[in-house]
Parts: sequence; C-alpha cells; structure tokens
Amino acid sequence: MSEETKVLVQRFIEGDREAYAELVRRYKKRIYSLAYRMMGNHSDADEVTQETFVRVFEKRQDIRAITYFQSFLLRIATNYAIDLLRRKQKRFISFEDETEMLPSVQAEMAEGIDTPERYLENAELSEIISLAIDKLPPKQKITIALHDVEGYSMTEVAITLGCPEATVRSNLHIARSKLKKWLAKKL
Amino acid sequence: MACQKISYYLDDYLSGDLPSRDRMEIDSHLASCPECKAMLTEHRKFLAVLQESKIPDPGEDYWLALEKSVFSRTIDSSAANVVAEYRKPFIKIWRYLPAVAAVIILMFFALSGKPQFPSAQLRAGTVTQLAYDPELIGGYYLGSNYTGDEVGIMADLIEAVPLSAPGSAGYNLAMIMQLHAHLGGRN
Repeated sequence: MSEETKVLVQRFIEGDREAYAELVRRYKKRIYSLAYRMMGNHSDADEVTQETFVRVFEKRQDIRAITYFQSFLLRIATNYAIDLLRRKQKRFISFEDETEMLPSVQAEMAEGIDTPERYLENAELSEIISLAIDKLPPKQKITIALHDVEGYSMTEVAITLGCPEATVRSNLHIARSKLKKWLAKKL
Repeated sequence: MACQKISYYLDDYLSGDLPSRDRMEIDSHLASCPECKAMLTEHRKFLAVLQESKIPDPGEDYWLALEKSVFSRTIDSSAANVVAEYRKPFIKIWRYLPAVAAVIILMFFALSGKPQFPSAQLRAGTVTQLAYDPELIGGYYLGSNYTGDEVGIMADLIEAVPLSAPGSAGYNLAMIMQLHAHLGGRN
C-alpha cells in the first residue's frame, strides 16, 4: 500500500468524508470485479459493492491497522457475497453435468477451441469462465476469484477469509481441479 | 525433490516468492521431469485464461451512479447515527419510566392527607401533628392539646369531611376550620 493511500485511510478512520470518497473511487472497480466473479451477474455485484462500501464506512473504527485496509475491505465484500449467495440459495451445478449449461456455452465447448489465445479472442470466454467459477461452492469460488483471478497473494487471501494459508491452498487445489477438468480440453 | 512437492509449491514458484535455494531445486527438477514441466505449463495457461478473462464493463454512468448511491447512503447512515446518539438518553429514560412512575405514585400516597387521618390513630395530644401540614395549608396548624373525649369528637368530624380531595390544601383547611368551630377556637 502506498504512503498516499495510508494517509487517506488514516484520514478516513478519523472521519474525513473526502478521504472516504477518494477510497471509494480507488477501490470500486476492484471490489466490483471481485463481486462479479463471486455473484456472476451485475445486479448482485452492484449490491455487494454498494453494501461493502457502506459497511466499511460504518465499521471504520474497527480498522486496527492501516496496512490491512484492503484485506478489511475484501473481507467485508466476501462475507456479504457469501451471505447473499446463501440467501439466494443459488443452485450448485455439478461439473460433471454439462447438460445444465446454457446452450451458448455448450455450443462454445463443441467448437473445440485449441489455444488460450483463440479462447481469449472469443467474446463469450469470460462468460464461460464466469459460469465455470459460478458452479463452485462459495468458499472455493471466493478463494479462486481472489487468488487466481484477482491476483491476491496467498497471505492476503488467508487474512481476508480469516483462515490459515493451508486452508487456502487446500481450497485452491480442489477448486482448480474442478475448473481444469472442465476447461483443460479447451486449452 | 518429489513431484508432489512441486505441485505444492507451484504458486510460490510462479509468483517468485520462493527462496533462491528452493527455486534452484525446482528448476533442476523441472529440467529432468517432463510431467512436472507439463503441469507447470498447464497451470500457467490456466492462470492466464482466468486472469485475462474480462467481466462486462458496466460503463462510466454506472460508476458515477455507484459513487452517488454510496455517498448518499453513508450520509443517511451518519445522520441516523447522530439521531440514534441523540435519542439514547431518552431511550434510557423510557426504560426506567415504569419504575419512576411507581415511585411517584408511592410518594403521592405517602404524602397525601388521607392516610394521615385514620380516626383509630387519634390520641390525646396528637392533633397538632396530625393536622399540621405546612406544605398544604401554609403553615397553619392547631397548637393546643385536647382531651381524649375531644379527640374522639375530632375523629368523627374528620371522617365526616367529604373526601373529594383528600390531602389537598382545601381539604385540610376545611377540616381544621370545622375543628376550630366545634371546639370554640381554643388556640
């Protein structure tokens, strides 16, 4: 975290609304992106993003160490997303059951794309990956979204999720195995 | 180094977080193990696909609307907190109101005139105390001692006084006036 961001966080904790506004501007896309990966649609991602920033504002006195601000933010977002996922009781679609996939995704798979580059060129690739991630159970989904997609370190993910790094490694391993099983034949 | 160990340290290896000694050990293993080399290549591709997959951009209008909504909600939240703080003392008073009311009612009955005039308690020489009530009759009191017979008469008179407003100044004054009239203004 840059010195400038640390100063902003300190001012925010002390009640400076302008500092809060600047932090929202800086982190909104990161939180929305993570929320979208976890929820799989704009409407829910928007709810998670808004709720995260409102809760961060309300709980600013609980930020004990400025350097952990990002983890604090991510933890609020992931906790809210897990709650929302559970509330919605989203149906978990088994990786083995491809008949549950959208017709467009099945067509995509049937095309037989053979390189990552070509895969990425396709406009529906992101949707395919989102769908694949969306099928994971909440904890695995969030772990893979944070670490493999958003690029947070193992330590950051462990702090965010409030669990040991070994648990993060284990969740990653299981989630990757499921995702790879589905995506490998396309790479 | 065993292949299993390579799998465990794959992330640290790719992120460059491994100590140089371990890194050299893995490099050496990869050079002689085509299976692990293939696994590493596959993992790199996998991460590339995940990290380069894009989520739909909600557009600049959305980002502005998001900020506006969050700021508006946090202002509401601040106002709600101020109101909550302002209301706190009143909430506490309401909590204790039944107890306060009970005390006030008990004090009212304790200080009211009615219980102080039971005829059975009247004894010779006690009229001064019983009739005296500076708060209600402005310091007017009967200063004489009476015989037992006279007290008996007074007791009858007290009971004959209408109890429309027991304990009131008018009640006590009327009672004293009647006592004076009956006893011939002896004090």
